[in-house]
Amino acid sequence: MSEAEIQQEYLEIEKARKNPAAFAALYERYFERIFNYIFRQTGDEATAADICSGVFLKALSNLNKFEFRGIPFAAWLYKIASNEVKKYYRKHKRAIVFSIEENMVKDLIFDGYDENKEENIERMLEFLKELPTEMLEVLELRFFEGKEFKDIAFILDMTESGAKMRTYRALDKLRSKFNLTIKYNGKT
Amino acid sequence: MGRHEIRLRRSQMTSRMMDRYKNYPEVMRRFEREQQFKKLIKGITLVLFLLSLFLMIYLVVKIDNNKDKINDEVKIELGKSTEDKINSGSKINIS
Repeated sequence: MSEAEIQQEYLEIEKARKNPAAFAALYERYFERIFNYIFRQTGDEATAADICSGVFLKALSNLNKFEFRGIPFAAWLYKIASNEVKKYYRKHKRAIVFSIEENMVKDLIFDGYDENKEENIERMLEFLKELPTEMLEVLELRFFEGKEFKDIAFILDMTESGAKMRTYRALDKLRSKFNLTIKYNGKT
Repeated sequence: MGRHEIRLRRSQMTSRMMDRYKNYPEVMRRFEREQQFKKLIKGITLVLFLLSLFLMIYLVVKIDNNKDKINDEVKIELGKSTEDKINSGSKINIS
């Protein structure tokens, strides 16, 4: 996001603070991203829709509390979404579901042997099952949502170095266990 | 955090699929209801606060009046007993 876009967005937030109807523009812009993020953590469309609606309601109600301190508005929405998903699982006492798109896993793995790709995906999924949930959350935000470490730290209430450490540890495990080349930040 | 389950999806959520769940008017309706509820709670809290304040003022005034009454009664009692002593001719020690 460029400086001008951030400024523009800040003006929109100011406008929405005075007139809640103006929040519609922000809702339109971020709905799909937030919905997808929640859907990846629930695997159920109706549940994702309910939580997503709650996220925007909470954001609108707490718009006065949002302070611009170098963290984009989107990260603030992700943080609310992450908390709402956790609240949902606490309430329903279920195992957390990570519903990941196959092509995203394929994008993440670059093995050089196309004939083994399916097998590697299966192995990768098995590995992801074994990872601690906290690690998976960081990986999801980093690779599937394309978030920066600074934003991940804000969303998951941790330090930036903590977020980096969790990601690198998970990637190291993956590399050592599968002897795979993992695409990192678009580069191998 | 506890255990988790991994599901692999063949298809991606498209914008059209997500459009079915987009409902800003509903979010606004819930927001307005929430604001009304907050206003109601604020109003009730204010009324309760004012009532408790008035009750406290009333009790303080009442206790103060009672104290005055008791003081007056003690003074009257003291006055009566002094008169009795004067009438009976005994000495009064004022210390």
